[in-house]
Amino acid sequence: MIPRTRTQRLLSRSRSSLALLFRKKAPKAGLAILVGIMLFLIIGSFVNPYSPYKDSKLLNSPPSPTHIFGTDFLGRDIYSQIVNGAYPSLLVAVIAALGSVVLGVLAGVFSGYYSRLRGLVGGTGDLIMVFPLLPLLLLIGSLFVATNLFIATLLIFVLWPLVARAIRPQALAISKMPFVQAAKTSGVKDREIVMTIVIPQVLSIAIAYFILNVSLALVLTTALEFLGVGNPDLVSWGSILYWAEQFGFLAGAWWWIVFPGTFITLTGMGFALIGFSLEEVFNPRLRV
Amino acid sequence: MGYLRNRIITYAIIWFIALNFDFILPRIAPGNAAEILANGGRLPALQVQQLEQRFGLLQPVTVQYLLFLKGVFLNFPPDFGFSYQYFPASVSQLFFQRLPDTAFLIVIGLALAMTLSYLAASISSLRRGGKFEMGTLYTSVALQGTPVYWFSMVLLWIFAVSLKLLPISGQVDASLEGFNYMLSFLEHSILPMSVMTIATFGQWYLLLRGSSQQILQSDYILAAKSRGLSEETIARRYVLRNSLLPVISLASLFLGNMISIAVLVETVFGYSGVGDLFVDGVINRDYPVLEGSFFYVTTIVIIGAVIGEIVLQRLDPRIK
Amino acid sequence: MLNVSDLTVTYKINDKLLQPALDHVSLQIPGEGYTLGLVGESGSGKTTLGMGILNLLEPPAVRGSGKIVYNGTNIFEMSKEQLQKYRWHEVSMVYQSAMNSLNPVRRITDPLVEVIRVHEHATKAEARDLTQKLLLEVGIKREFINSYPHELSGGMRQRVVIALALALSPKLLIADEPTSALDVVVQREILQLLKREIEERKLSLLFITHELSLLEDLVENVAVMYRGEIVEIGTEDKVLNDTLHPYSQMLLRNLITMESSYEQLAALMSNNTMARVGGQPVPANACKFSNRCPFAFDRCRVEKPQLRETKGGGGHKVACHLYN
Repeated sequence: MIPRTRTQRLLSRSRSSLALLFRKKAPKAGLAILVGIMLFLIIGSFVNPYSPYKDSKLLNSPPSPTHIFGTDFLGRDIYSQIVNGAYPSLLVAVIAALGSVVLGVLAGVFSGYYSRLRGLVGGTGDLIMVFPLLPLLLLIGSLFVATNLFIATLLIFVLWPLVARAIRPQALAISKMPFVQAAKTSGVKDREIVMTIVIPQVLSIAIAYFILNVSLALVLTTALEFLGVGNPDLVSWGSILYWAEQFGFLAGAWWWIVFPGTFITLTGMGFALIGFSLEEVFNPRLRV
Repeated sequence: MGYLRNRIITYAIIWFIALNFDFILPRIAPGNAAEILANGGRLPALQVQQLEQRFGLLQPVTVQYLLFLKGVFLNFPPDFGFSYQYFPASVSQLFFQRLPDTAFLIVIGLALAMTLSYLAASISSLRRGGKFEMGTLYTSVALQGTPVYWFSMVLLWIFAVSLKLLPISGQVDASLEGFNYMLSFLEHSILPMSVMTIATFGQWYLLLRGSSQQILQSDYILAAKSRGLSEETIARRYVLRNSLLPVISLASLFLGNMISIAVLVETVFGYSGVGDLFVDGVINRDYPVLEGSFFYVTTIVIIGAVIGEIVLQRLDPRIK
Repeated sequence: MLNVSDLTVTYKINDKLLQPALDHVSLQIPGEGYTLGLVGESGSGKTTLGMGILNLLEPPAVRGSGKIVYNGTNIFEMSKEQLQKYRWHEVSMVYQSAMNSLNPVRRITDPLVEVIRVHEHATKAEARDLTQKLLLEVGIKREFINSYPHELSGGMRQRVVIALALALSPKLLIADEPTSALDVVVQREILQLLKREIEERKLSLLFITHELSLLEDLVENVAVMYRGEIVEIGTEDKVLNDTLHPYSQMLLRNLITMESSYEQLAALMSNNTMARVGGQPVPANACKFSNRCPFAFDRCRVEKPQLRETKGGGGHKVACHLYN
């Protein structure tokens, strides 16, 4: 038997999975979209002559050489709003996704491994999943002072059951495997088993869910911003559309609606495509 | 029977927790009850007094809790008091007035989405890995990243503003009568319904597909193939049928999802349903409306979940 | 009747992970009533062979060389229609775990009725009649005929699977470990049922198992497989009583089964596929058993033994340098 360290084993496994991944078209498209948007945003923040908050006399003007995406009802440049507004929305989405996956993995692994916890964690998860997401978020978000951090926390709280639900069967399957049982009987502590065996195994699927959750969280965050939760005067991808919905239609400013939304959609799509393909690769049951 | 009973009890407990949550939440929100009540001076003093009485807002929390429970359990429909905005209309009244419209959107939207998904899945399974399957699949995934509210706005722009084919907002032109009224209603509901259906289709199709992928790996599928059954027969009789089961149990959870979509759709299209009421309540800090609609929505979702469990039990002989 | 020649099958997980399953295997079922037991551990390739005969090998299984000819036609070259007629009508299979081969949401009568109607174009009534007869014949009591699979005991389910396999009166029945999931008492009953059916219907049987002892009194011939190769084949009497190959000897004395499970486990934990079945990797030209064989000598490690008839004759073949 060729001796292999655990890292080598992990790497060889991920290498073969990555190889599968790169053969598909979808993640490549998703990646291309995201890279494109990233570049656009980064370059945009340097090449931007306007501040997103600066009013101008050029009210509701369509795209032109000076304002490539046009201006809104206060004459503010929409291009710079998009570039600046990306930051708060994306940040919240990424933090929310990260937090929900961390929490979800812990919950899923512990409830899958320890049968005693299954009822409690599962029940709590079900409880949260029962509520319609948006009304719940809307309710809580509007009653309290909704800083971005608050929204992120809220999203974490609401999204972790989704992850836990998916991780739990994996953790259960792993804990039933004979070598885990063997490890247990030979005296290895439960916590160590969970840390060194179970979690690394679910790691790959956790990453897939992280990416999927970024997409989901982004859509939710911008939806909340769109509905006026938080501070609609603070430029974010959703708040742009908040104002666009109220004043854009009347002014006939289609650019105000189309461009910001396209960015949200493309970013969401990019993450969704990558995340979905990752999920397919790491969860072999889903392969065609 | 035992299994079902346990599930129902679990849901009942969840429901009760939700009820308490509904009570607690507005009361731990920052802001003095009386201030909020006066709504920044928008309500005349007499009404403020009436509201105070009904909700016991100047009384200790325990009394308020009892009043709350009394309102919910001792009345049918539950009494959540009157709305701040539409005073003296009762919250329940408002809710039930608007419920049919939202229900219309959701029920038909779900039915259409489920039918379309099933059809798409059937066609896909005939040529596994073919262009149709891949196309539908990636479209559904891409749809996941598309914000419903934006999609609504774009459709609204295209069809209502530019092409002027459909009305911009509202639900129906109340001045019309009879057949024209119906027509107007339909006209106004085409766009919201379309968005609803498309958004739901994407998610539903992915669910159905995930389920059938799992089934495909099952041994009895291979066994069926070994018996010389054609791919079409297997796809039809074994795969699709069996993959529906787990998905149906999710249909009820889906209800919550669709309500979220309805909230957004109604806001953009100005469709006065329950979602719109809720958003109004949020904007105007109309706590009774928020409490009431949240309660009703949760109750509806839970009832849906219970119905889903019952249906599943009927259909799957393994759960007995 | 059935001729497997030079069949090679590999499980290709990706370009680097190749798990050989069958290595240039040849086997014959000469005619009606010929019963053969195929013995080997997990990973010896016996199930792959069974699946191959029904052309059910799906990716990641890849066929290298070889063909399987049934009454003159190569199975792997059959068209879809030919395959549909071939499967179940000519050759059918009894699977290891009935629970896995029966659709859990349908009654046990359904697959029988279905297969009869699809293949024989019978009416519903005719099919149902035949189904009932078959189920009664295998010992399912009348009151259980309309049950769901999960309502029956393991033994009863296995009877259903046997009835299903016999539904179209095939010429060859493949039984892949049909009793591994059952307890010893029920095992006997099922084996007796099988024997009876085979004899009454004059079927040919390919009985795949990892337990050599089961084959006693059941089949006329026995073949032993090790790591994708047939290492010994002959009449049941010769192979079980006059065992030649060292591996067969160890199997017979049950010295191997336990050990291999541990090795399997260890192999599963590592990522090295060569660690599966057999321990150390063996150079390509050597006898595959040379690293575990107590009688191995130098020639074993450099030259692969061929399956040759022994001096005693009588069709008893063995692939071992001890006898050449």
